[in-house]
Amino acid sequence: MGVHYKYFLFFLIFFLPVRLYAASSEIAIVFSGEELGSLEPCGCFEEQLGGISRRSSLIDSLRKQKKTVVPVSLGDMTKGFGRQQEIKTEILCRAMDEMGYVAHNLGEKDIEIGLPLICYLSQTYKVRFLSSNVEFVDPLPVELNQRLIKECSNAARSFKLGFVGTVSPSLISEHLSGFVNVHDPVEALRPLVKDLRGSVDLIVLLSHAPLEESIEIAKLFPEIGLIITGHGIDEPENTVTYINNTLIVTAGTKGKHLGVVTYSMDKTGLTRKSVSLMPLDHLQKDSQGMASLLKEYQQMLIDEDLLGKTVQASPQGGALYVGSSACGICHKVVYSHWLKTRHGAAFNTLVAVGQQFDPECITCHTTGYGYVSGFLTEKENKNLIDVGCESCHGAGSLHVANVNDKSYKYRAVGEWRCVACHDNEHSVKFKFDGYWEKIKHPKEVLKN
Amino acid sequence: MKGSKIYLILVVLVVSFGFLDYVTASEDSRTKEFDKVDTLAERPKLSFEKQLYDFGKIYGGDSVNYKFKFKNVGKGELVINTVKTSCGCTAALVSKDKLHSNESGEIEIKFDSGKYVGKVSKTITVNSNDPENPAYKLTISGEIIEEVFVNPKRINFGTILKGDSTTKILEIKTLPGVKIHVTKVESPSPYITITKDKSSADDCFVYQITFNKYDYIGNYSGIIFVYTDSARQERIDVPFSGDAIGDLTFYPEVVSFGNVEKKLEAKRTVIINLVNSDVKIEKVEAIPDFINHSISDLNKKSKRLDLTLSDNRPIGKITGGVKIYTTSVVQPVISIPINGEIKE
Repeated sequence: MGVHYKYFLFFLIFFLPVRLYAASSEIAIVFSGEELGSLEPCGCFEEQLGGISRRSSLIDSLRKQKKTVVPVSLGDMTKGFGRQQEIKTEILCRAMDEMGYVAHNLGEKDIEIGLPLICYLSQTYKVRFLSSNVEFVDPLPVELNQRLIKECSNAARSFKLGFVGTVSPSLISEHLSGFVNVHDPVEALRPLVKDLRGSVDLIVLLSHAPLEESIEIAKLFPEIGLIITGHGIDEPENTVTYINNTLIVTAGTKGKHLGVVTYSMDKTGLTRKSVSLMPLDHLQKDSQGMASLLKEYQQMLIDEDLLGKTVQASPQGGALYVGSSACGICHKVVYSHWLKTRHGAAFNTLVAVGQQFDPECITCHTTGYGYVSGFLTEKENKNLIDVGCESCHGAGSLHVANVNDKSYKYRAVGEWRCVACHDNEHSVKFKFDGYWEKIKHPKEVLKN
Repeated sequence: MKGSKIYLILVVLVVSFGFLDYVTASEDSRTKEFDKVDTLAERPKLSFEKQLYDFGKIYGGDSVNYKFKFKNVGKGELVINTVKTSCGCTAALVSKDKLHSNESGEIEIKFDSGKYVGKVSKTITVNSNDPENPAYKLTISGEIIEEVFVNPKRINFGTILKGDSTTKILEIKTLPGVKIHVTKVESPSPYITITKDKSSADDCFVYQITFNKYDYIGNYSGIIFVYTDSARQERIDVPFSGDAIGDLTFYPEVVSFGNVEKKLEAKRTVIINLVNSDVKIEKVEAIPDFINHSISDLNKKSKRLDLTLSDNRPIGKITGGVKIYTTSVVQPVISIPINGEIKE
């Protein structure tokens, strides 16, 4: 028995430190960016990728693997401006805080959303805003870091990651020049890289720029070990590039993928182990925390009555919307057929997922949204819910007024009308021929 | 003997515990590991006549069809396992998935341009048992053009002082030779004035967009509608936004607590920026009384106002607001609405 105890102690002495050492021997730099306002898959079809919920679960699972996880964001949280984009940006910042993001690099769309919001976000949330070549000249203060250093450690020693971030001047619109100066990225990086060289174990550049520009930066600064780049790159797998020892990667757009570069921490320093671009698909679990945040987002849309504040344009030709039931007075057969199609129940598909107050979804699930006399809210416009006759044919009041005038041409429909809603993001399986068969009108003889 | 069994169990436990990391590290086998190297050794060889197809220029919403022709120029049977496209905009159909030596086939591609604009490049990956090229990449590329192109696509007027005006240029270009006309440019915003510039030409319309007479403080936004006689682009929306500031700015302009549970901590923050450094904040009031507030300095130019819901908050909708009293003549009182809903 005494001998067995000795063997057991032998294993404990030699194995336990090995296990403890292995527990925190890896750093995973996790990167995302260019969400362009995509918080979650809209649910228009199955197999959609993306969403902060799946991203959060994946980051949690990496942490459970005892890796030191360092999430960073490349930039462009939103796709434009307006109150809904502002709310989305806030929600994304809160989500990044909860996921433990250490840095958000400014992209051109982050700058375009407006200085007050950038000022607010940079001073309110834990995620730190990064830009080495942007300088705001407006009177509002922005907490902007030219560089950030993140320290990670294992049982043996600590390691330092140095982050710098740039945005390409080619992406900045002229009309922003009044309140922001964007300097040449190479000139801005020169002193920062010189300063970081030798004092950190790895220099990481978040380069919000076309791939070609990032490749040129990699050639000029071989000290940079990792460049996370991208602008409008849909297929991140195809852009993994090596320039000497520098790895250049992108996470793609709309938050559909999460990039992970792992490094092992050992006596020699940080050694790159693997590069992964993980699609955020249905196999990832949803995060409870993010699900609550997303519900909060929908509630904010309701509280601020974004639908009711929609700016409405005049319909073409001066016509007004009348609603499909008005069309059904004459077109009984066609109306009755329409009620049985998915167009006739399009609004309910939003209600089923609680998104009937989201202006971005309403456009394609109601009739005339964005036009005077078109759908604004369910309460006021019950006759304009669903994808009605006028969604395809246009506002119908002039057609009704000229119903006996054979020379009056009401608008014909072509494939180009369909793709306005059945686009690559929301209707990936759309094929005009097959889809047309499901909604085309039955023959009808009209009586005078 | 009994002691040996206990010892063995303990050893197994320690060994398993020690190797646990290495097992969980490779849990997700779906990750793409770009540093790994495949080592198959088979005989067929996939060869395409062309790897890249440039479809030139098409209009937005149009689609492109093309057939990539291929042949098995090796020995042994070529098996096409999968054909994957880089996005849902591109569909691919293979004519034959098993080819003998010297047999030919084709992959038909359909690319739907949808709402893409500008240069695009899409990849089709053909996975087969060709040992030299198991993931053969084909590319289709081209440019999607618009009949009517606006620049900029959105207008940011930036930050202006209350009462000031500012002008931006909007260019509307139509394709030469297509004879498309801009029929109207308008905005329902009473603060926008639109003037056609003298520099306008046949296929390039230039407008001066002026934001003026805005006598409020805060964020403003709206849309400029551009109407054309193009069947593809009857109306183009050009959003605009900006901020009118006074002695202080604050964000957000509305505080939304969203849906919040009664027992959970709920806190929101307002950042107040002192544009005029002579201005002081005298007092803050919040209603209803279950909204607590505290104000602190962020830096020389900014203050942080934290709003929290107290534990005794009732179930139901939150309808209230916070008032900030200042020494500013321009903004003596700032009112910020607060909304949300408290649930069980």
